[in-house]
Amino acid sequence: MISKILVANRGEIAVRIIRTCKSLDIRTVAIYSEADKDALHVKMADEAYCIGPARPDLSYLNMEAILTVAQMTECDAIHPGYGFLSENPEFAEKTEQFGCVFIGPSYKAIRLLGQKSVARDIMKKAGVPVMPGSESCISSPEEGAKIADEIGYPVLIKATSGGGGKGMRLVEKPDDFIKLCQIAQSEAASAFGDDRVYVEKYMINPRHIEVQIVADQWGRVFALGVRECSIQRRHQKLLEESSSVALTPELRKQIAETALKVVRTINNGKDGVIYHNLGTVEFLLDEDGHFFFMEMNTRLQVEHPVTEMTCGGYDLVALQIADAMKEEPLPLENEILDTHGWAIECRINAEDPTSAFVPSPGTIDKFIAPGGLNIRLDTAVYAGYKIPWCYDTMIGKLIAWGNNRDEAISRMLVALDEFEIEGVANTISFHKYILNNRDFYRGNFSTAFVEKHYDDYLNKIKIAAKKKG
Amino acid sequence: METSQLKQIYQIMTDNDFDEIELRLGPTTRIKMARSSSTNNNSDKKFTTSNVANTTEVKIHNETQTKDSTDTNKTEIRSELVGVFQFMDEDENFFPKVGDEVAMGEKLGKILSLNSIKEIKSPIDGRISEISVKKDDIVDYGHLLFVIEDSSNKA
Repeated sequence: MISKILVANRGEIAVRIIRTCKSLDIRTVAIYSEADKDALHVKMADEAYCIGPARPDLSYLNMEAILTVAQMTECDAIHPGYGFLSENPEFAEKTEQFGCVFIGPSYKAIRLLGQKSVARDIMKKAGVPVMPGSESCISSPEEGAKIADEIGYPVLIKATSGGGGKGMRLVEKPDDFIKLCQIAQSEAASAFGDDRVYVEKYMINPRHIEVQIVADQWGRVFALGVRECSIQRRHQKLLEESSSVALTPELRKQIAETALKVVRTINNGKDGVIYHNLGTVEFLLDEDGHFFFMEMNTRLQVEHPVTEMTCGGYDLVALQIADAMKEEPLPLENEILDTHGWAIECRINAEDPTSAFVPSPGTIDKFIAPGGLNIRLDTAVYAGYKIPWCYDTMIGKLIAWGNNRDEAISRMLVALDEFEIEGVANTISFHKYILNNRDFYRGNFSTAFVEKHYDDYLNKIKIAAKKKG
Repeated sequence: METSQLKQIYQIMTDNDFDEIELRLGPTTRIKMARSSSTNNNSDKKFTTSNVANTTEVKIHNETQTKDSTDTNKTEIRSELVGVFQFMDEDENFFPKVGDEVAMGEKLGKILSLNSIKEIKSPIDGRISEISVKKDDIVDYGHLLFVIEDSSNKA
């Protein structure tokens, strides 16, 4: 039984988790840093404790402080949210050792899938398509250069413990390989304490497709629809949708089945790991409809609301808690869930899209939230709230659902028009541009969309300003 | 980066009382800004730029343990970590009360966290003028524990 949960996170995701806990009559404990004393999650939780200064390594990444609060307040479980400690196997293991439930997969599964090259090798052996590349990590830059010659340029050098683009380098010609490999290794060493890298063929202009997985401790695995997250800027997703215009029904089924196979491969491994709770299997899709396993994220994903909106209203956080209770199998039946309609999520960040998305922290002077049928806003800000300098720039996630993509786009455009934020620069105008763009509307885009259309966006903004002025 | 943006960053540092900010803005640019936070001396700010590997890492340095209260004669002792507060146990033979004289380094209490015990010591010679904590209280980071009046600086 879980009756009290410590939420080891901040911002909109902490608020979102607390909401579900309240609806399940579960008490909540918030933690916060000095920079977050006025944050919404602090006000909403039943109890809240300041655990350190603004620096994340002294607060939201401070395992000792978080576990101390969990112990003092007699919490049954810890929900890590996303980012921070959510994919840290050491934290999951310590939580378990300490007698608390970690709401997520087992630390063994997190550790296994956190080693990107290991996961890649396991999937390759199981017949899951992966991009051509090195067998596990390379032993030296020279060995990597040989492999790159064999698979052909361009190639990506990736840190096996990596994430968020760190320890990753694109190499376009052989002359650059050794130098860039050494940079990737040293960056990986300083970011993750592990300098091992592997080499993979680089796909030009791919689409990013992912499958939401839910699994329970009885070994049952389910796929809850696909998401397309190709609209990105420097590996940071800006806009996500469910489903994807790039997928025919047959291809969508194939990708979902492959994602199920990925989880079953882990469950059938020699080490006895049963993957449970949530996970996201990420794929790259080429122009000819070939898809390749990229990695599996072992946590709740930022863009999970588009899945909730198209999968009959399942609350993914409630499913996480139900799994963590380990009392009975999850109330799901079909391995591949039928989805309904279309959902789009726009990440509204405090960044200036007219100035290369430079962060714009500060006080929100005016905040008028959009609403209406099938509009959802997940946020932790309010008028007068000061967006701290030291964390991510997210203001909120705006989600629109429609019976089809056209309807979802129309509703989102109305919502974006209604949304008023003053005091900080924000990405609303860029989202409006994307949704009005012909290539986006026709589904003719890839991860290169933002780069390709950025100058056109700037021109349109200038013309609009002239008309106004 | 333009001067106006640097000024904006400096304002953020001032607002949040950060001593130092290091910004890595892409493959070739790093900006490091430092200032003296305790005195808010604007002339102490400095900006540096250099070439580094590509990253978007942001580092912020700012730590305080004890600081003067608004009354310059008084020093506040605040908790450096989250945990359960206790006065020194019987073996230590000290249960402080308001009005007690304490010497610099004298133990006033302790905070128990999961795997460690942090002793709370007086940073100055003085007299306890306030005790803001009770035995077994859960104290946050930054929670006010004691106020010590400086005995060497009586007007």
